[in-house]
Amino acid sequence: MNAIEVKNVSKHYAGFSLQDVTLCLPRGTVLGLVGENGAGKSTLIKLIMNATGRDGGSIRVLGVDNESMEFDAVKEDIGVVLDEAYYPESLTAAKLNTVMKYTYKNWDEECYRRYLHLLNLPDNKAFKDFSRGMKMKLAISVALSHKAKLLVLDEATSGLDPMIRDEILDVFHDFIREDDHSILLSSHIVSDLEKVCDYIAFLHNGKLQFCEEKDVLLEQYAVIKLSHEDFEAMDEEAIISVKKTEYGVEALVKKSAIPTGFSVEHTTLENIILFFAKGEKNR
Amino acid sequence: MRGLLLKDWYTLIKQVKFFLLLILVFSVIGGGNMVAFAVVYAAMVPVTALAYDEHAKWNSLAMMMPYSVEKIVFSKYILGYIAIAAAVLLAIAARWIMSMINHVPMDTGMWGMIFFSICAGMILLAVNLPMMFRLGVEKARIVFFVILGLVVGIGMVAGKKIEMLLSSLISPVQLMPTLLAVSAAVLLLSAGSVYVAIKLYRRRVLA
Repeated sequence: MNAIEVKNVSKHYAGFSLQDVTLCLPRGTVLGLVGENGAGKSTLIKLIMNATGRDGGSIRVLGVDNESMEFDAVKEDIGVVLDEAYYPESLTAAKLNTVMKYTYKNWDEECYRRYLHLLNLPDNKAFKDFSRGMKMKLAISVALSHKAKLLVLDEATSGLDPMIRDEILDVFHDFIREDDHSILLSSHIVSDLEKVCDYIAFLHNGKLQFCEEKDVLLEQYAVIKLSHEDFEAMDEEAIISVKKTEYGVEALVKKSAIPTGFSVEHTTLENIILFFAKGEKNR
Repeated sequence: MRGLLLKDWYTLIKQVKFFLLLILVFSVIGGGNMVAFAVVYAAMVPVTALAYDEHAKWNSLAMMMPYSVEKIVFSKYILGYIAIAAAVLLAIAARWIMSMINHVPMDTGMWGMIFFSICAGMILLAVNLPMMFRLGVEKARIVFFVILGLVVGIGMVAGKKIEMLLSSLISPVQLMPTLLAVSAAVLLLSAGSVYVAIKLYRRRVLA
């Protein structure tokens, strides 16, 4: 059973199009959505939450068509954190508790207070006086306090210092321990995604380049450095993307298709994504 | 919807305190016009709430919560109606206290003023909110002030003639049917306004 199923979804704006995106998030897993600024990550998340209309395709979230009437009830089971917290400035964590009590049927006040304590958030300080880190931690506390089964996080860790990011990633690790819990996490910080994700979807200029298990990606692809002559001799099938310099060639290749004897560099997810985004396909 | 109304209450609490103070001041120094002032001010409360929502980008988040477009829109109408009711009750209470202090009976002409003030407040909401939801507060405010300017201009130029025409049309015998007809028209306008605002807001967010 999938927590999210996106099939052939398109959305056109003046100057930008999200084209024919198909991906799924299996229940109990974490899917990282990666891409440069403006690649279409936030648009896709809005489409998944039916916060904007689509031009084509279909989306099911927790088994329900997200354009159906039942989807408003399904939103009870989805915790959302956007790139900013977007709460009115005069609210405090305590007042937000009261608002959310009347927003979510499954609001768990005890759980919320635990998160406030865990993340060192003050009860009665106005939201406008919070730092960005505190604002995001508050938004995450809310998202985790109404017994959500799915977390949808749009750049929730961007702009935060590494200490806070680590703290928040630990919270996500705890959340995903439950079998039926899933996370869709959009970020352009690939190292964060590498820490927590089971699957990686890469969006580039509104197109999905791949959606694959993280371990398969790391297993399947590798970056190699070679001379221009060796590069010319290499099987075209093996090459995914290349960066040429006057001294040689760096190529992202399929490990299974390269001849023996080539030394493979230590390849990170970030390397793979950078090659998909910036490398050339042609020789 | 209670969550949305509570959020607005917390956001507007400072303005509400100022509003109460104004009503008290006008109760002491103002006459029957105070009710009209209080109701018109109250009818602008949802616009202020929408302006705060836009500033915080709250609606982007609200669309991700278990709130339908209908609930988001209707909550602002409910807020307006609550504000108008509270303003009327407070104005009546203030006038009553003043009449007790001054040992003079309450002005019976005030009830007519209250009725027409409520109607004016609801018309104001009905005209204002669909524009606010479609255009956003900043742009819609400009459109609203243009409309207001036109209405005031027409009133200044042809006010006496309109008043005489209405007086000739409404005799004391026809008063009750007229009040009922006005009430029905205002209620219909409000219902139509809610419908249109939902359609316009849905078109705006789902575009």
